[in-house]
Amino acid sequence: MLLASALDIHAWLSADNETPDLERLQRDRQIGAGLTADDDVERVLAWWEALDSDASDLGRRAVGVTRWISAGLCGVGLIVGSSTAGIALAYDGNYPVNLLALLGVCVALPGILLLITLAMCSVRGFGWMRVARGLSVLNLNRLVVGLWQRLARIHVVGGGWDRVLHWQLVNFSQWFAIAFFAGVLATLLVLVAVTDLAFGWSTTLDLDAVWVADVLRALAWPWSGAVPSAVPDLTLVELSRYYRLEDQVGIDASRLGGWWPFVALCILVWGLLPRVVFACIAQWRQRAAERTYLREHPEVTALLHRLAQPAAGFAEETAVEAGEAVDEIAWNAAPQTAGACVVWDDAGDVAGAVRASSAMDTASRILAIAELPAGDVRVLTKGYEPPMLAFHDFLTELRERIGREGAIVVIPLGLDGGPASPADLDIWRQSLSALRDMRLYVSGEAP
Amino acid sequence: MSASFAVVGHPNKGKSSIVATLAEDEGIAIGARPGTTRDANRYAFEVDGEVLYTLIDTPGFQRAAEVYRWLTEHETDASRRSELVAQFVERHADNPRFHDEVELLSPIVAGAGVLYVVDGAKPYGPEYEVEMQILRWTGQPRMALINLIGEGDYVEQWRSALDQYFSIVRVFDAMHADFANRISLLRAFGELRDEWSRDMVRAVGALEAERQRRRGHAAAAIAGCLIDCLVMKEQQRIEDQPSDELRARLEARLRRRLESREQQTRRQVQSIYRHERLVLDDAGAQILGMELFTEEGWDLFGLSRTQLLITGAMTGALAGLGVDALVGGASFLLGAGIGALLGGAGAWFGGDELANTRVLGDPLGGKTLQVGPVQAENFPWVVLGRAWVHHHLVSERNHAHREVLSADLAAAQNVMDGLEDELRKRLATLFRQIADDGRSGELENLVETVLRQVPGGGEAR
Repeated sequence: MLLASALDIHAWLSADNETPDLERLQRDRQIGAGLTADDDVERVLAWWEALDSDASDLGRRAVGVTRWISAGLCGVGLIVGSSTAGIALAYDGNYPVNLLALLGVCVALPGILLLITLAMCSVRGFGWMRVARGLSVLNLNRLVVGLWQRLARIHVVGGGWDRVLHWQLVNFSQWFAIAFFAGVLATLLVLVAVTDLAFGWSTTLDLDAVWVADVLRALAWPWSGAVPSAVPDLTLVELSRYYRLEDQVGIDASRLGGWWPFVALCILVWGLLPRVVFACIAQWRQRAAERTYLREHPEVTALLHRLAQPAAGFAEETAVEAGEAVDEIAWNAAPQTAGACVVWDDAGDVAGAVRASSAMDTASRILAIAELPAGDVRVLTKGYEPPMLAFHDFLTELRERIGREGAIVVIPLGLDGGPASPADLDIWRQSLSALRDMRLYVSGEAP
Repeated sequence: MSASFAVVGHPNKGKSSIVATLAEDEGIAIGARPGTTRDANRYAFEVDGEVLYTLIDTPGFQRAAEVYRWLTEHETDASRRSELVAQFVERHADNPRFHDEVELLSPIVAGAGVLYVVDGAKPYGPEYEVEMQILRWTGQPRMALINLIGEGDYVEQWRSALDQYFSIVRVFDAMHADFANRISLLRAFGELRDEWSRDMVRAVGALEAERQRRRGHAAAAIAGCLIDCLVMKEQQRIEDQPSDELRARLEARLRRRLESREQQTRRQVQSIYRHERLVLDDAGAQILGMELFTEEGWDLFGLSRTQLLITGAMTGALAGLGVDALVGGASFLLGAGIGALLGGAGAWFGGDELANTRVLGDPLGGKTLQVGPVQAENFPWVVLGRAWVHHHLVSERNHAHREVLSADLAAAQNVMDGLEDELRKRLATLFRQIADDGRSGELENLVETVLRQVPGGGEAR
């Protein structure tokens, strides 16, 4: 049943909202690539089948409740139809069953109701929703639809759902009507078989028998070719008229029973058949409404996009590994030193300073620092550039040159030649912690 | 073989930021400390499983001078320099001293194009020259990207230096690049080598289509939120007169549900744009001071007492009419009248009994207190305005940005004034329709039209 799938799919997609979009995209595109159907609804249903998800019991429940209510309405329709026919065909041998009353109750009145239903559907078709909703209050089946929603625990509102509800109401009505006519017909056939029914017609109105015969023959037109015996002739119509003041009708009782094929075919063709046809139309319209309901949901639109569009995105092949953690050491305040000065990577312009850089090879750097006098050394660097391992190498070389006692004070400088920013100083301190040199300092004071 | 691009350079020049921006990956580690990236990481751009190009995030140069010295010492012939770089990688593959350089050069030796990243906010220094020399020795197509980290402007200085080593030099602000910047950069990648251009054009097309899909998907999410918010209500079955406390409780519950629905949509939109980890500062986004519809009612299967009365009376009248027909109209419609009276009275007096009947554990109806939906006319505009502003911020948000996204959603409703009148009218009609009978019609399309515009004016990319 499409409605069950629609309810389940909507509920599932709403819950799926919290799934990361990329995951949804990859999942649905993978399924979508294998789908062959062009129709949107068919694609969604095929996706649902391929997903093979644990559906909620919403759809199953709706189907179950629909079946139970339809069966219940059929049962009630049969009982009401049989009872009505039983009353309408009541014959105690005094007066024949009045054909006009029988056809009025069993054919004309339901026919009028069918026309009202058709009018309601047309009104909806023209978009006069408010009028249609107002008229629907007149329909007892509105209660049945309310019961259906309550029992199936469907809490849906909205335009698409409104249409589904309308056709569900019409469908329930038709199940009841079909069962009603089946009950009437069955009762008639049983009574024909087991009792002697006599039919006549009687009215206070001054109706001409010829006119009545014409009307009845018109009613019998659909089967006049196939079952000519079920078409009343003028003689039968004239002879079947009775008045209660008269003792008896002017025809023998066996001929009055000959009306039954006409009555049975009237109920079948003008009562049951239109309801069966309309039930088929209502089923078709309900399916169309269910398709619209399924398709109209915003999440379904998004799903169709995911199914159709190639999944474009990045797939990471190698996991990102965090850098090795370096235990930070406690940094002491740098000693005030007026020792030798090294300028690293052209960080500044200090007279008499030794120049070294990351672009120099180790040998050249060693030669350069060899010129330094013994004692503490200040190293000026570009604080806005990151400390690299080539600088670590240089500090190691420097330590070897000046020995373990001399202080090395690294002074990262800012763009303006002043001290580096606190954030940059932090970076330098974190990086140089890796050297584990207790006489190495990072100073925030520019020379 | 598809194109691949190794993003290389000095440490801390925003290589990972560029990769995070291009790969739309908020999970890529970006840190101020040098050495955050220790190993090369590959990010393959796929369309339905077919790799169109690969970005490779690499560690920065640490001992470039030593590498260059090794290369010059072993050079025999200028025509075999690229082979020499490959030899260096091969010989030092297990040498921890050159771990970063090996990681950096391996993909280039394997055929990747070079994207050399520098920081244009800091001055050029001669120490960069060795790196550029090594990259030139690889012989691979090379592009330089001048990233901007901070306030300084040394772009021209960098251009002069980079032009000597790279065929294409572009400024690309990784932290602030929007979609158009990214697309433009990808097109430039295709210019590096002829055989890469076809795949890069396809990649650009796929990204643009994906961008459209995301906007459509976001519009669907926002439309769904709007519909839910417009019809959302809180109901509780009551026996007697409802207390003020109960009203207040239902109101608070409704406001919480509305806020939670909005937040759910924001999370969904963030997920659509691959910003799952984004923290949003949406102070002022509460549903406050909105007029709520409150009603005490009675229903049975969704019918009010009056509707039930009419339905009962009509049903009784129809049954009575049948009896009238059976007696040939002799009852002069008395059957229909009595039927209507009986049906109406039955529905009126028996309604409570029926409403209290429990079927499958649920009562069929009864007296209720209902709070909501929100009545205020500006409510849908507030919700849409916030969603619009949030969508704009998220869709333009760069994946290298890791700060909290501050959004003044309280003031967002004013942005709706910038919509054209026709669109406003159509939206207003739809809002009324949804509140009335739930019909949402073309709401999704209209929301997408709104999202195509920039709050405050202009066309979104």
